[in-house]
Amino acid sequence: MNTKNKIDDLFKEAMAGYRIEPSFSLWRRIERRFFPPSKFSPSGLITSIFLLIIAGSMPWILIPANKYEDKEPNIPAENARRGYMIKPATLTQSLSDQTNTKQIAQVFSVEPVIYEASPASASSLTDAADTKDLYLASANDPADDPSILPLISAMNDQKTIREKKNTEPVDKYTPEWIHRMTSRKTGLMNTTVTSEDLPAHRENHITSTFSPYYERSYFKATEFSFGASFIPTVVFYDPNPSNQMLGGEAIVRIDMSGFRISSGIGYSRMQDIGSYRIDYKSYDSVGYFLDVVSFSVDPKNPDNIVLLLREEAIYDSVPHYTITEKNNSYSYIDIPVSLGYTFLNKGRISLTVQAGMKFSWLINKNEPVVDFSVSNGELIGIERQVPARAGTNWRFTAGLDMGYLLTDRLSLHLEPVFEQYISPVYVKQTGYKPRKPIVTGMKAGIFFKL
Amino acid sequence: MNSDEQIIAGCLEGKRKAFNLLFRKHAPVMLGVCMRYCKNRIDAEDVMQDGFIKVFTQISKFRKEGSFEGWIKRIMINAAIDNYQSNLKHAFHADVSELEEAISIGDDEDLENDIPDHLNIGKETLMQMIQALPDGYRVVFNLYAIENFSHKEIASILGISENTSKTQLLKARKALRKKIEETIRYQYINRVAI
Repeated sequence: MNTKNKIDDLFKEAMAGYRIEPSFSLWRRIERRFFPPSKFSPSGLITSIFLLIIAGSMPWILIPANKYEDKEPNIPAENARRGYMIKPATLTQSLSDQTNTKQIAQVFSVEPVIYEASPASASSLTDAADTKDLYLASANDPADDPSILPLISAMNDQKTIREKKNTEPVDKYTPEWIHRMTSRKTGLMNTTVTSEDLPAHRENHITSTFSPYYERSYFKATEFSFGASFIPTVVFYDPNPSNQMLGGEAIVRIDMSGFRISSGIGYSRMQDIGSYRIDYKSYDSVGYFLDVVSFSVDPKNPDNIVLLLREEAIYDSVPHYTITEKNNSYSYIDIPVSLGYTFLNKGRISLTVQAGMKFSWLINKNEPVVDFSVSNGELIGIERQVPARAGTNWRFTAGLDMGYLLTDRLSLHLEPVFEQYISPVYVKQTGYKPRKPIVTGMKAGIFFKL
Repeated sequence: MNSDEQIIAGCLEGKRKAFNLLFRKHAPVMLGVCMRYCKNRIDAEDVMQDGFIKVFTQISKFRKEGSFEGWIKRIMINAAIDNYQSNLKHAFHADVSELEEAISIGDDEDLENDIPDHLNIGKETLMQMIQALPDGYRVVFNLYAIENFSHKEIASILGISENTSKTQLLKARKALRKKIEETIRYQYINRVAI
């Protein structure tokens, strides 16, 4: 018979009926000891992989990349105007044997542009519209600009626009217009596998469809696994349109009593339209004068002198600039770290919420050389319009990992992901708004339990 | 299927739903029991997992002579003791029985002289005090003070001498008393500060 004691009574009374709710994973571990998942079928694996690839690619398919027309100019919104630009594409020259005059054939293309409306450019456009020889951009809607309308119509009909002139072509481009770059960013991810372990001293052997490894490791509280994920994502540069990004990760993961720690290394690659301003000067026609080729006395009226005139163009060196684009690409090494909690683990299915941080390090950039190819033009300088990419980035990441156990060791994972940039994607540049975009996508991966 | 009889019948037929009902009905209380015998929740869940495996595999052996909950609780305690003894194999332990004569513990009666009759200490705090005890103290204290085993029974279960059981119980009480005093002092300081 135990002797009564105050301390004993205190604890005995407090512990009577003491209840604690067990974790979600505990029942699953016990349940799967007695009711193991059905045997794995290859058709299920093939179907699962197919569905994961389809689902993982949906953002890539459904959300288109930037189109030229949709790009936001890197100019104040109140000064942004839409217009059309006629670009000389090819230039051919031939010499006429009969007239001994030079024939110039110019082929044009017409593109919609966004440009900055400024007093200088507005007057320039007005002058351009009134000048026959200048085939430049129009600041107006084509319907309001008769000089450009035929060209727009021809372009819509997919016809080649040609114009023959007897004088040297004026190689002028549209007035000031700038369009912004597009950019593509990466996303990374991790996924999870959970599994069970067997009791060290089992009394009754329950037949399992799983492997001996599964039986041995059935009740382990801590599980290590590794895997790889494919991550197509979309970057939203609010208020600008979205861009696509593609990446992959190799992840190591520890699951312990429902909690998960994961980290690894990833690689991501994105395309980004680089915008450059090319300043140059060219020797252009600025007017003409009438040159007297010869004169003679009118035989019928000797008081009159007949002049034989010829139009002669006047040339001068005129400064111009144009904007050109290059398709740049950037590669990053990503290091994600995340914590998670598995709140559902039933049969082959598991759901885990995850959140963490991702560090990105720019390891390679491919920015093609900007070429200058304006005839009769002399290059003054090339200026980069889009800020350079930052060397490093930090992102907050969150996701809901949906796991499907294929075998005792192998599992497929699908995870909708959300990321928020904490640091700007571009280096600081005066007049350019820092971008801290959000990223959404779908991570698809496969994991193997050690 | 909510009564223990129906659940047992379902388990004997191998019905998954019956297994689940049994677990949901008894797991919270049993985890409370297992927590008392373990250092933390993770260990307690491992012990309870082993315990429920035994419950499900040996349910046919339940004679219905006592309460079903009592039977499950006994299995959980056995699982906890198995876990304790299993851990002993992997750790260095001094032979307490050889040392017990040299240790001055003091009079057991002295341990409770200063304990007030009514204490305002939460159950979670008391649970943490038990969990903070060394493994041997914790098991003996649980078996003696809460499960009402005698020192002779404890000695038999744990494979130790009765004196060792008594010594560990006294040390456990002393450690708990110290923690209770610290808690009371902390509460008093907080009250004065407010």
